[in-house]
Amino acid sequence: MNSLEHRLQIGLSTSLLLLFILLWFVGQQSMDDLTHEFVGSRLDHDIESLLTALEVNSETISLKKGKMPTVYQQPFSGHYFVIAVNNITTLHSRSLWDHSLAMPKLNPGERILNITDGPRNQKLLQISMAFNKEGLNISIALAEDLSAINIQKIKFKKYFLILSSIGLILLLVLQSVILRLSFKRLEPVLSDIKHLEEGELVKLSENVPSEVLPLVREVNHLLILLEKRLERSRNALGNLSHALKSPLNLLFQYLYGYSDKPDEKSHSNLIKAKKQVERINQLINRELKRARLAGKGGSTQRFNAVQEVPELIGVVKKIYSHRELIINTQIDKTMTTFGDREDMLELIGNLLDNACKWANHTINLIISREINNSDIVPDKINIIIEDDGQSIKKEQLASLIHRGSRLDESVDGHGLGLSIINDIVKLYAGTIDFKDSSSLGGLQVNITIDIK
Amino acid sequence: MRLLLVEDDKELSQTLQKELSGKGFAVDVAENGIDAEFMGDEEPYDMVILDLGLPQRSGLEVLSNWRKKENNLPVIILTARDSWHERIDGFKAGADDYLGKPFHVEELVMRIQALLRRTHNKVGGSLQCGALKLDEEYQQLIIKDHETLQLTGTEFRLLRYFMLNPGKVLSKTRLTEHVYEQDFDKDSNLIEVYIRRLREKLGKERIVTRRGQGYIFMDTL
Repeated sequence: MNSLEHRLQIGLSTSLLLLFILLWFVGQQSMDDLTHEFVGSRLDHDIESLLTALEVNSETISLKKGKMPTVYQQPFSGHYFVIAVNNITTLHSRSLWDHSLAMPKLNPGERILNITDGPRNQKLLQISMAFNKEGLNISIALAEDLSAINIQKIKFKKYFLILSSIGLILLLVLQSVILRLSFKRLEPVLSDIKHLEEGELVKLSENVPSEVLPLVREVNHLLILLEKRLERSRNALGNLSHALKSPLNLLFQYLYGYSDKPDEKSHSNLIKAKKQVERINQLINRELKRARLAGKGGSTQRFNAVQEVPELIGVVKKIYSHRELIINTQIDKTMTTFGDREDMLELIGNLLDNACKWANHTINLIISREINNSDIVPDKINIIIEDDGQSIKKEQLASLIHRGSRLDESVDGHGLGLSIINDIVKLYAGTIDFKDSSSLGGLQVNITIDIK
Repeated sequence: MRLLLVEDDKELSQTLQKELSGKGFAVDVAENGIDAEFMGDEEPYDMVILDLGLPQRSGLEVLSNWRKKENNLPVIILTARDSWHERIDGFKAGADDYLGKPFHVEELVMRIQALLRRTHNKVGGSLQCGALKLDEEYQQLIIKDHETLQLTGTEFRLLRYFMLNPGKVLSKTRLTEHVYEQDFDKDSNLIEVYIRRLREKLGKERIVTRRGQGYIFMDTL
């Protein structure tokens, strides 16, 4: 799990949940303490008034009549007391009826507050205190039923639980919305990168959160560097080839323009020299063209087949304008741009050039996405070109596939162009395959390239 | 046929000029883009052979400037930059043909002839008017497929221009401009001499004189 958004989501939710649980327990505890202290302090007052109503007659004690509140007279009223002298229970309120309260052993001045079980399943808060009155050791236990308060407490807890759950859920939702909104600001970067891959953009937008800005800037910097480097090397190669070719052209003319009848030896030397010049020419052509190829994954301008193939065909038709060729094309209109523009133009241009050399009248060019069992295979492009020229013999087909691997084999028409085609297909991790065209009768070239 | 050869390599342009003259073309040479653009605008060339890598102004710029001014003279681009995307740029700028360096002169001549025929709306592989067929390779005339007539260099140039423009009134100045190089004396009456010679070979009725206007080459008799 590597998503920052998920990590933050989980971390923040967990801490929020922990906070709420802690709040719950602390709240519970302090509410219990609060009610006990509150009821307890009232019981303290009741003990004091009980004590004043207590009359001591040598060894016996009695309560002054009329001094006691009536709640101690009604049975199971929820208000009870027990009075013990020297730890022997001598008096208890009428409300206790046939029950009693457990009296802990106490020294004078001691005070204990605890919860005990009362009659009829009542929960009692009991306060027990010991005094020394007129030489007697008197202990008083006073208790009050907590049931009514407990019902209130349960009610309150229920509301508290519901409200805090709603609060928790709202906070969680709010938090995930905030997170999503914050991370949404990164989405333009992602879509930029996608467009960059497709070659629709040359740099990433710098309108991004400051945390990723340095990264985006660095990527942009590298992109510019890469593009400049490619451009520089392409230009340098163009210049080199331009500089080399004029002198080479002169050599051509000197050698082919030799019209005097030379002696045998210099004639054969002349033929050798011509061969070497041709060889140099081919070497330069092939290696320079090869060096100019960008390959896939570059950040160069992408090839838009729908738009550029018709232009390319216009050029080919002009070059072969002395022949009336029909070039049919079928291009998948749903294709996005793919490959480096110059590479693809070179590939398809050479394929068309080749086909034009051999065709009688008709050439078919099909560019589509690879389809396997009626599913579109992503990142694979199919290029099929066929002509109605002479059909090619089996053994020639086999040699065509290997043609271009050795330079001196690439002399005739299928030569140099084919070796460049081979190089480009290799660069795009593709396959190339030659066979007889079933519809036109000439050569059919099938190429699949990987554009990811 | 008068050609403008734009090439900055002096040695290459000199040998090319010699070779093309041998093939019956009058060739002027420009060595930089600015001269080339001016000459292409001012002189009535039949075609331009344009190198792209030129000093002062690039060939592509020269070409697109001509096309902007609606100067539609036929242009063959001659360049070492012959990758397909560069060819597309060349044709987009308005080129009519594109030849990669290094090339054989025969290839260039073939393309010049083909483009000339194309721009004069002549189809097919050779120049033909009725029973007359011009053999551009050997600079001779073939009549009714069996009789051959040898032509001198100037006769060949003149006849080719006539055969490319049959039925049109061609003034003496125009003929001079398209048959000879730039520095040729336009007032001389050499053209009349050659027309007389052609009439001797083809028959008087082939080339009709329009007094005060010029000459018309008759396509059919």
